[in-house]
Amino acid sequence: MRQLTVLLVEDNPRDVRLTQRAFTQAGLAHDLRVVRDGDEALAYLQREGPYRDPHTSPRPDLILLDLNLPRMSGHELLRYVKQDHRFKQVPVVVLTTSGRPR
Amino acid sequence: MAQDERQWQATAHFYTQLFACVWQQLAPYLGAATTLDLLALATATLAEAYPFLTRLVWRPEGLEAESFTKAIADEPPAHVQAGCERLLQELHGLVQTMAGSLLAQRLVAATERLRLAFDPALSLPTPAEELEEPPLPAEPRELALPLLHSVARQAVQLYRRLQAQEAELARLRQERESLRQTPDLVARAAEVQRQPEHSEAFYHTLFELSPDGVIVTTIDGTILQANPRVAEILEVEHPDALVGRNVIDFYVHPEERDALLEQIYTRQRVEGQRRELHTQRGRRIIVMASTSLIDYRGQPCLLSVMRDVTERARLRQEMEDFAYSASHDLQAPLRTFEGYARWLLEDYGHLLDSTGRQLCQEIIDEALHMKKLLDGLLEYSRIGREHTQAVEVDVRAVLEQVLHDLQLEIAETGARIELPESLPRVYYPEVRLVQVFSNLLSNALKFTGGKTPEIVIGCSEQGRYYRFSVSDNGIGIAPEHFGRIFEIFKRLHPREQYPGTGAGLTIVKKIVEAHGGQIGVESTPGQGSTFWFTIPKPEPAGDATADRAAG
Repeated sequence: MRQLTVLLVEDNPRDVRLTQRAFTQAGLAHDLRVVRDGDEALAYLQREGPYRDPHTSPRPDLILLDLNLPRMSGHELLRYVKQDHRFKQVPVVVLTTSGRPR
Repeated sequence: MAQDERQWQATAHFYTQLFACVWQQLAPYLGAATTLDLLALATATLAEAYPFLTRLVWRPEGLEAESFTKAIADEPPAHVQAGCERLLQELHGLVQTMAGSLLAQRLVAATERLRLAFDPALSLPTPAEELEEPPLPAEPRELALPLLHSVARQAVQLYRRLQAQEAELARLRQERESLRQTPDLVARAAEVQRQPEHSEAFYHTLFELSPDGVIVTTIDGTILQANPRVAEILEVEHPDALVGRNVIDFYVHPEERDALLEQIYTRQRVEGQRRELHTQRGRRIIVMASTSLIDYRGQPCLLSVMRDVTERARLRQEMEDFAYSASHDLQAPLRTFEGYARWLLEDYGHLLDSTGRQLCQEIIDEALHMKKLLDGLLEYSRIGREHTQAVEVDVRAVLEQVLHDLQLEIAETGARIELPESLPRVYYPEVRLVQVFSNLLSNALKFTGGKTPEIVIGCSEQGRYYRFSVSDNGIGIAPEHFGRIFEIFKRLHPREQYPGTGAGLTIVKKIVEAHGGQIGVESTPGQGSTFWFTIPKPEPAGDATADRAAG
């Protein structure tokens, strides 16, 4: 089975750590890529700057998105992802403390 | 001089005779008391012009001659003559009005005969020439006399009342005029305030002094009248500067005016509407306004009372934003506490002794509890921050959903829940109604005191409202705690006994009140509690303001 590439957009390193552990515990073959804010996420998706190489920065199969982000907000990033034909098929899991859709 | 003096005395003598004659004509028919009343009435009418008349003393036998002499002693003869003649005329008029023309004719006949008998040289006002001696009408039969007396008395009383009312009316008219003309209200205020029930003056004062803005407009919005407070709220120099302008100029959302008119047409009155306005200086403000259709000087107009709540709304918004971001930001570290403690327990638990593991477990429990508290706070702040759309909701469907969500608790407790036969459709944000019932029902399922819960959901109509209730047979609440249970995070029991955060009822109360309803509780400790709340019935015209009023 192919390894699952997951893009985690999260600015809190402790949350990153907990997420990494959760994946490990789940026993999924995964490749977790972490970016710290919306702008970095956008650069990753568009393969800009440090993410130019498609081998080291593969397109994600899943995006884990924290809505409360510095700079470009999670909402804006979500809108961008869902409007771009290249990414709109990629499932996005929103990480939020709110229990209800906002 | 002597000639004048003599003539003066003769004149005085004539009038004494004249009044004696008047008395003789009236007293036998009207009775002495009524005659005195008539004289008093006539005198009162002339008191201002002829003060000497008020000094005449009338006895049950007639005029006291001495009082007449004294009264006229310092008066110019012409004045005395004119006054006496006016008194006679006035009396004649009164007799005519109240005792009928028969007696009035007798009075004229008698007095005119007296005039003729006196010396023409006195240059008394002469009666019509060649006055024939009018025939004296027949004496009334003796039996009719007492009746006539009482009729006469009543006539006088009625006349007095009429006169008093006319005088009051004249006074009020004058007062109104002077209030309109003089800006100096203060001088008149003391007098006016003594009789608040009288008048426009009272309402005018109310209008001027009101701490709320009061404004009258035509249906199309042209301002007819505005009080000083409106000018302050709208930052206009003077209320007069508003007259003639259109209120729509001040609306941030002019379409709200159409919605208002629609509501006015259906129910004539709209209360507590939140509205955004621009002031004259361009500041954006929020007012709460109540409007009623009135008849204003013969045309249908709108009377609105408004209160500036800008500051209140700002503070509330600030507080809610704070509560939201505080609870939101506090969630992140909590996640770390809980996650790390769990991690410790799972991966390093074998390195700890049982106390160490117990401590880790407690960190996890407390973090989870704090998360619930923050969720409650977040939820509470959300009710004000987020505008949920009111839609037509079937209350039965809502209850079925809630019961489905609570099926675990219902099964665990073996609760019996009774629903009313018929349930209405209401106009409400569905998620909020779910929250309300869900909170009330989970409380009913929680505070059981070990008994099997028997819960009855009720619904009745109460005027413009539906009243829903949730009754249980649980532990109940002492009346002194009725207020406390609605305060956020206030709990009556230790958490070990009944879990929870103490936010549920606070949220319920906030939702209910934000949607125009009320909430309350009735309870007997040990026997159970009934929580009730109301929802306004749907208006015929769509009412989109309900949830906006929450903001």
